[in-house]
Amino acid sequence: MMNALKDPPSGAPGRSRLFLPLTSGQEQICRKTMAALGDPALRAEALAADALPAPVLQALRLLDDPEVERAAAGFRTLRGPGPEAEIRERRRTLFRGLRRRHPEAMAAILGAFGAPRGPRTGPVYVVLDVFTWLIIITIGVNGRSDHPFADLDPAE
Amino acid sequence: MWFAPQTLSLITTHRCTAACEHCCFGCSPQVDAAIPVARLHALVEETAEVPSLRQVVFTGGECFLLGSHLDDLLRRCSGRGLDTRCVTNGFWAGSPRAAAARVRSLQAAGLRELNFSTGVFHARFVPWQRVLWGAAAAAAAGLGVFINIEAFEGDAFAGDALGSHPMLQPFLADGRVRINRGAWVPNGAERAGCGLAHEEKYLRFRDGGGRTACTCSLQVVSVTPSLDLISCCGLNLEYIPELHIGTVRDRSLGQALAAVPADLLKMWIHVEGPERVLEFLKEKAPDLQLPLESAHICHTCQYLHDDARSRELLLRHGHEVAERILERYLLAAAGHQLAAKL
Repeated sequence: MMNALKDPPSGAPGRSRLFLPLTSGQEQICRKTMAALGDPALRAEALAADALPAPVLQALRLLDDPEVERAAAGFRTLRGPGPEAEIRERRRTLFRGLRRRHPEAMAAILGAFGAPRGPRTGPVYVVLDVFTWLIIITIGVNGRSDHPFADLDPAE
Repeated sequence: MWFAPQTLSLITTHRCTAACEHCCFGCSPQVDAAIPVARLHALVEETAEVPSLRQVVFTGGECFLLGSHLDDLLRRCSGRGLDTRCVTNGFWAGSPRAAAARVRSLQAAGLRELNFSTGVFHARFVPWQRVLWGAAAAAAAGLGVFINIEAFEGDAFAGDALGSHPMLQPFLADGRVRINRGAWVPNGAERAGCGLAHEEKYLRFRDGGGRTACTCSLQVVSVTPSLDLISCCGLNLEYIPELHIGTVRDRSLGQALAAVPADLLKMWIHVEGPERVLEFLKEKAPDLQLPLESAHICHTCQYLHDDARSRELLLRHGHEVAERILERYLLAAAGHQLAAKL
């Protein structure tokens, strides 16, 4: 074996570990957001305190949309052999609905993944969506299909 | 916790039935480093106690060397409501009948997804037909299947027939089987001259593409056979000490995760990828050399961590992006949470 790894190296000899710390305020925001993401009660507290960045608060509100809960329950009944295409279609329908109900939050989340921010209206619609299709194709070719919104149709 | 990983990847062993050249962990039948089975069971229990973790991936080495222990572990995962995936070279699928029998057992234990690794180097040890039989059996049983085929310049892999094989056609058509060509790259210990090159379309700094975010950084945490906790599941994780964020040797997974210090660089890599980090640094220092030959995101990541100039520039300028990256990271985490509910 030319490359047997008996004793994995711990990096270049003598070099210190590279680390970019957050300020304590930034770290607090981070911890509060993560706690709020995972716990509806803490989410309600965070929303009431209004102490997180505005786009993050919008995204937290979206998580409590009853449509998400209804869809989640529906998807669970579909799990099992076969219905992948149906699940995908229902996910798309759900996301279309969420985009209509929470356009700013969904745009912010999609933007965080580098994904298109549609839907758009007005005279630049066609031009912009040709552009976003190009982005989607590039994302697919580049292997970004694993990000959770890669199957969203930007024109919807 | 300041991050919310959704997947635990258990690198159950470095032992493998194959000994592929350039293997990222140098796996082979001669290596015996492994996580003890009892610790694997305990790690599954500890995973279920971390609210953000929803999926356990069993990989290696070759996780099917666990034999019936793998089924027991899958049962434990599904009993605790955890999603599961196994990554394998398919050696166990010696015939369509053997493949179907093994898959039935895995499915009964709760397995949801099976990933196969194959290609020129793997096929020297495991015939590609075994991947075909294993993948077809798994898809027929309703599992999600992903086949990753090594890619490098000049490769000639007979198993490319997988993409048009009649046994897989219906499953490729309905999306239950996906096939990907992934760059097969030198491992972290190797350097230039190892004989692997890649077509332009695989290069990470090519014009018009290649600079993708790393959806694994902070989203997946791994445990190695030496019980180190890793902040991703990257190919070069044994060669980047910064990715070793703790240990589960003497503490639970939850305790280890809670002790991880917040690190902007890992968030930055998550939302923009190591290529864009390096390009930001190059704006600050135009003479900075970029690893233009990189064909894999993990290679660029190792360069970013190893290169003395890049490290110096990161320490000097990293804080300039902190607010922007933090907000983007939090929104991405919200997106992952939303997607995970469905």
